Amino acid sequence: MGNRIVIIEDDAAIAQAVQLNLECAEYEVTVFDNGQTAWDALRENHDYDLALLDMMLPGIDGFALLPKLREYGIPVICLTAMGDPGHEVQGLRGGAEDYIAKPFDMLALMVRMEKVLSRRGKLHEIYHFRDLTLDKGNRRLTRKGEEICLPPLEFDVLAVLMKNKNRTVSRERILNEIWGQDYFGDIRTVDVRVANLRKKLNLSEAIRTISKAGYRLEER
Amino acid sequence: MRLRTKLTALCAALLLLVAVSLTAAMLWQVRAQSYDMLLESTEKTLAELTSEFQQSTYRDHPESGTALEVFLTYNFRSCGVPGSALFVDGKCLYASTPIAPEEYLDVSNWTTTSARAYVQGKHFLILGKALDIREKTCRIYLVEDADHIYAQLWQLSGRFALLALAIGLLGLGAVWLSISRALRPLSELTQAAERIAGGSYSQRVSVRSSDEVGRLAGNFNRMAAAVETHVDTLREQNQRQKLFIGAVTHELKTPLTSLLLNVNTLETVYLPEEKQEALLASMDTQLHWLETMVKKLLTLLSMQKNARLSECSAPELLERVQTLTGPVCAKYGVSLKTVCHAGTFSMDSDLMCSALVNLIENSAKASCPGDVIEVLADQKGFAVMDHGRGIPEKDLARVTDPFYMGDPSRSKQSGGFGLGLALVKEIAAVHGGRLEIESQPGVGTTARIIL
Repeated sequence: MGNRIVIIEDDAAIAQAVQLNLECAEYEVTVFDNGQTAWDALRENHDYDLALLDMMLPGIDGFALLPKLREYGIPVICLTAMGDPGHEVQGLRGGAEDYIAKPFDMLALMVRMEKVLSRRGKLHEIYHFRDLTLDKGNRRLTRKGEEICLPPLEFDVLAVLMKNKNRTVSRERILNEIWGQDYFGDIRTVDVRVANLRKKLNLSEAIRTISKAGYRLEER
Repeated sequence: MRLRTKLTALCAALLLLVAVSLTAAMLWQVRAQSYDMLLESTEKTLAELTSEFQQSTYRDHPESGTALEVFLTYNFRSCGVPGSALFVDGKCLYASTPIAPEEYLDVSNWTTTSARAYVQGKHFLILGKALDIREKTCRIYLVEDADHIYAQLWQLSGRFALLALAIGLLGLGAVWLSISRALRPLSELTQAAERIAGGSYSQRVSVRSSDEVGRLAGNFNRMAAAVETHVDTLREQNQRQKLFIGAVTHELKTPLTSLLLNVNTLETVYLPEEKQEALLASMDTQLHWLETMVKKLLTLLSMQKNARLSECSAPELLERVQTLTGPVCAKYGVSLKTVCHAGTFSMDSDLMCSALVNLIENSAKASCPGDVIEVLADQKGFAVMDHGRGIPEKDLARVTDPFYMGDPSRSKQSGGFGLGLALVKEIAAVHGGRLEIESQPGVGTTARIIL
């Protein structure tokens, strides 16, 4: 099961795009387009790991919803077009974990979400692909219940690819996810690990090489 | 040099000139008078001398030659007048004068004459008289010392100089004071102008005189007021434009965010075909929305330039409006009633039509199905009245701001931009009129375009 995310955003197009992206990354997503309906629904069920909250909402606005979400113990990332420092401070003081101004980059949003979730200890790092299950926390890879042993680096590369299932990831991003931002090593390392993974796990056509962009683990 | 110093120096020069010329004229006059007096007394002495000398010659005397000369000389000398001289037939018989009188007098044909001489630092008055005695031409001269006249003149001029100096100093003081007084408003004006140049446009001067400086101060105040008004207007315009740009930017952010997200998703995420198409369709909608908004903004910004005012018939306009709003009214289930009490207006009928359509659309959205919207044209202009839900008082002042929406979610769902009333307001302004909105929640709204 992925993390449960609630999106409270009145612009349908943005909510739809974010939802699509998050669902690809195995998040479970619920969308509300109105502050009032979100308020009412949260009273019934507030079992969410993270909220993405637009500040300008019809009904009840984001600043009013913030304390409620905090009360339920749901960390909040604010999404807003009001990108001025005053609003940012107001949002963060109100208990938001992070603040991202429109227009934003999906990848940036997802990285921030992971940071918040891992800070809260809520990051479910269990990924599925076909019959493979990868538990990043326990560093276990199983196929139909049987454990498969991989060298650490190959395990990490596979974890990144499975986390970003159906999404193109560049070689640089793979290295960055494994070693952090400051790694300046040879990106060919990735190619070697990917070749090994393809061979060992029989994923030669599932891990596609996207020219000039990177790799993509495709689930058809 | 400061104006005060300049003016004072000019006055000082004038005073000096006047004093010098007056003194000179006075001294000249005094000299002439003194000479006249001296001349008079000398003439008297000469007359006495002459008569005494003449009488003495009536007594016995030699017939001719040297004896006569000696006789005449003797008689003349015995008259005993100092500074006198006797010439007989051009020959000097006797002279007790310090100078030779004939050098200074024309000796030709005269009986009585006078002249002034200046010899070796001394002034003299010379008087001459000619008379015939025993067929001989006698000339008698009297030379009088005139130095005392000049001594007196010197003394006088010294006194005059002192007097002139005293009066001049007093005059200068008075001039300095009055100039300072007259120039004080100017220095106040200068200070005020400096403060205005420094940015405090509310500065005024308080000069209350009716002279040129007073008029200048009045005009200065008027100028400062005009500058203040213009600066305030510009500031306000600038503020409005900033707000407007802020609003535009804000409005652009949302569609841009979703476009960016969608492009990003299509670029990196492996999606089934139907989802890809759904994303593309959503992007298409966003782009159309953006395009429409940009068009509306352009209309709003270029209206002043494009408006063409001409005499247009109001009934025809209302007819056109009714046709155009047919679909909207049908959609919201309302009916339109037009009343026309006006003939023609000077207007751009296309713009006015669009303004009325905008107002009617707003009314239709606020009304319940079955309601009637009235459109009225009279001498004052146009009015659109509805009996819909009305506008809350707190929103009333802001409804004409660009992008302002009383209830953002509802307006967005009904495809609005929050630009409609801003457009109407601008159209009214282009026609030299204004937009007035009266509303009571629950009762209805009346929007008037007053021309």
